[in-house]
Amino acid sequence: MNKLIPLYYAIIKHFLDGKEDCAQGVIAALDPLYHGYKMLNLKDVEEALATARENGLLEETRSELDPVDELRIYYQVTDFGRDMMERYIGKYANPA
Amino acid sequence: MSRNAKEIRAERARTYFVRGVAFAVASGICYGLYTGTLTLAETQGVWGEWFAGGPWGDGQPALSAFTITFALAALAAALNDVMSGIWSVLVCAKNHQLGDFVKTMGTKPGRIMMLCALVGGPVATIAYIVALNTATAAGNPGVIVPIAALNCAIGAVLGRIFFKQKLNGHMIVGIIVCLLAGALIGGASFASVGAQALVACFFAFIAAFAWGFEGCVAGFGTVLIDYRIGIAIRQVTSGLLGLFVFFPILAVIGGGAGSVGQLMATAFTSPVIVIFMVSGFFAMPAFSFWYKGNSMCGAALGMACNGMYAFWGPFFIWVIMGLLNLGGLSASYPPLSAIQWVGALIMVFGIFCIASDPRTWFGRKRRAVREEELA
Repeated sequence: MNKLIPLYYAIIKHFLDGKEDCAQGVIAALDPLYHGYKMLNLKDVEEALATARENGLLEETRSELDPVDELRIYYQVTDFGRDMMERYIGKYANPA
Repeated sequence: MSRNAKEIRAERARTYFVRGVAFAVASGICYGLYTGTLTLAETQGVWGEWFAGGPWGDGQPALSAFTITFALAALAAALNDVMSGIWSVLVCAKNHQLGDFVKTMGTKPGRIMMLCALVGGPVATIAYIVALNTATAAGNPGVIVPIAALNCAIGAVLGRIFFKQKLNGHMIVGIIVCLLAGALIGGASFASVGAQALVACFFAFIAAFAWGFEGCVAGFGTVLIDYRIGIAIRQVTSGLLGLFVFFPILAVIGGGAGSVGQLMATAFTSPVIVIFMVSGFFAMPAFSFWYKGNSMCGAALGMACNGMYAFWGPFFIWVIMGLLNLGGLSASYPPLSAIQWVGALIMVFGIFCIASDPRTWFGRKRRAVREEELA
């Protein structure tokens, strides 16, 4: 077992910097560390972000079509999401 | 270009919405199938002999009333949860999530999930099965499912008390509708079946209370975990605690230390274990489809569709035990009387009211809300 934090923690903590991002962006950012993780694919990351939105951690900011006509839905962290992440998983981080 | 993206986004929202409702409804159906199969398992083979209260196996003396009521309920609950835990872990393995499963248990949200599993697992499930068994013995097993479905109403009230969550008008209406439907079902069973059914309803109410507590705490502590991993943690914790802590304690009280190993070994070697594998199999999507549905159609509507198990539970008990005659009972085998079916449907309506504002279900307002969300 590697030393990485669970993938779902990494996906939602990706938004802690306050910037908006989409599933494609999350995958691009996490792939170097989590390369080969089966759940790091477009469909499952989109579902993870949609679930996080329903749970109130993230909010949808906008959506656009990318150059290959794929829909990109952008999300941003909510105050509730930031508070929850800092309180419960704030201390878990990937090795630098 | 931007207008085009908006249209595609709206279309995606619509397909997600329909698929989400389908998943949430399927979760309620799986819940009904799990309850029905579990009830069936407890009538088969050695389980039937145990509950009949006479000698069992090759002339073993009858079990004590305490063992039959509580220790067997704990054993059935534990077997069901262990089986569904194994299924859930297999799903994680298929997704290559076993590493994350182990790691998550070592973090704070994982430990909260385990605490919730203690309350919602052994405590609620044992109470639920004691209720189910008492009601089955009284000839009216379906009656307790709608009562246990009150956990939705209780969860909303506990959320108000513990977390100062706000209760809207439609939620208060829904809670009152649920309580009235519960009283209708309980009252009707008292009139038709007698005091034993009321005892069953009492235990079902304890289960509803524990599940309501679990739902309201878990809702707060577990939004940070991948739902597949969350379910695996919950079912494994609950199954192991039931099998190695709750069941042994209850069995020792009911029949001495010797009965623990004897009952467990008999349960694991009896062919009925296959039916528990099936009930555990249905218990897994009962939870995971619920989460998946929530992420697609919204948590409120997802919870409402899932709450239809107040109806699906008695329905599948009737289909499996009566209509298909698997439990050796007649086709006219009635889990509920007409008035109780009505009560179950009223309860489903009440759960809908708690979970979502009825005014947003139809017509312009819902569209306006969705469009507002997407704007």
